[in-house]
Amino acid sequence: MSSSPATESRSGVTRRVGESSSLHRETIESQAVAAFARAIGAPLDGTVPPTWLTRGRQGEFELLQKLGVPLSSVLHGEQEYEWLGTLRVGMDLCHVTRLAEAVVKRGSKALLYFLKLDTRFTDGPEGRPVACGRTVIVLREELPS
Amino acid sequence: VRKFEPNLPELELPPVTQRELCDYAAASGDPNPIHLDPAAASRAGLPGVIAHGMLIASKMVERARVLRPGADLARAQFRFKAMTLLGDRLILKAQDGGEGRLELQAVKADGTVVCTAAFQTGPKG
Repeated sequence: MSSSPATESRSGVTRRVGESSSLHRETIESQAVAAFARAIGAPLDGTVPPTWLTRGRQGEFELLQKLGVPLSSVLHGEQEYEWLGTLRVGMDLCHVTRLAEAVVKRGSKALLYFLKLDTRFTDGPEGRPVACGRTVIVLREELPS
Repeated sequence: VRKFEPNLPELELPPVTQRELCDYAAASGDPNPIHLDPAAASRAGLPGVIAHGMLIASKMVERARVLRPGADLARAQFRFKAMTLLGDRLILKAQDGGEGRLELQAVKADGTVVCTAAFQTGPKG
């Protein structure tokens, strides 16, 4: 049986461990922080909610696109954040995301891919580390019946 | 694995709305259409539009900050267990694990756990 192009690109994911996104960079601005705080029900006190880091998933999205994985086909399985410093308005928050691990598990009806994506956040492109993120993305591929 | 035994006040969130998901998508920069467009969710094999995992996780972090005012958040680990659909009412339950540990669960009215979170407060790094 021939496999679809999508199947081939997904299977190829396991060979692309170690690939990184480009550097993403965004100055933390007070208006965007207020919109984010309102969206999650955080206090509007000028502080930056810790999960502001989720705006730094742009590296993940870029990497998934590079790997040929459509965003609408993945589920967010796990997320870890480690905060090394306090996020502040005006900070030049930079991040790079790397495919750290790709594991395939075979079920009776589908293959499940578990992609581990590590993100390093720094204050400025070469600046001090601010946070680390570890994301597990789950991708399901139905097996021919 | 330690048993989850809530020993802190719980919080019931209002039902999830499409407006809320649109606001979060815009504010977080998450373009995934499965959170916004019923047709895209259906094409992805989902029963309907689902809430962003990180929206629920963010609400859990804010709950942790209310339960531990002034505490410095050092680490958080979230596991997404089930999907949250429009109209779902989530209850945030919490357990003080001692030594700066705090565990939360987001649970639907029927008892389904949608997300577990483990927080460590204390010095960062």
